[in-house]
Amino acid sequence: MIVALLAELSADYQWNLNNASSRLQLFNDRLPQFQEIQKKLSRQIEVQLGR
Amino acid sequence: MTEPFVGGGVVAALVTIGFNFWWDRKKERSAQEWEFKRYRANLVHSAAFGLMEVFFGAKTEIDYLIGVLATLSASLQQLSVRADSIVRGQTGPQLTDLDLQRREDELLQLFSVYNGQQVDLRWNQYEQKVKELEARAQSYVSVLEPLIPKDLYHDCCSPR
Repeated sequence: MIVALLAELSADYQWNLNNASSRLQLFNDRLPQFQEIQKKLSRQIEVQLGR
Repeated sequence: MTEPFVGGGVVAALVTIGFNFWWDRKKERSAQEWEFKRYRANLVHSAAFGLMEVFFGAKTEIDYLIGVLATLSASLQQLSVRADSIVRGQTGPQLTDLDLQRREDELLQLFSVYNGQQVDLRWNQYEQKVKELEARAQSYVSVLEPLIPKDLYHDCCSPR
């Protein structure tokens, strides 16, 4: 998931302001997905510490 | 009469020594296990935090780039309007639209070149930064692989 997300967010694109704005929007759109991964990793830390 | 008492004392002392030895070993092993768990959890935490830094770092970079370049574009636009009024003020109505455009372009040439250089410079800096962030993210993902369960790694990190 995170690798696919990274590939999507860092893919090359033709430079212009519109495309850059679209890329910024993509970051905003993918934020919930990214936060979900962070939550899973945080839960895993708790599991590893036996809490 | 006193023999059983001495014998009992020795046994009690030996049991206590044995128990203490066993307890200390158990405590030591438990402390070592806890340290190891903490170490692994810290690695997962660092990698997760690093990924978050990369995500928001890349977002901030593109946000900054858009801001800078939109400002450059707006200032060139303003200069273009001023150049238009200057050229129209300096020349008579006999000039064609094509001539006006040519004079405007001459007037703006230096600014356009400067703007073009700035755009290229900022864009190259941005591309470089994004490549660095991507490499950092890949290294965090590699750190996570042996530390988290396979199903979680597959769910969170493997390419889909």
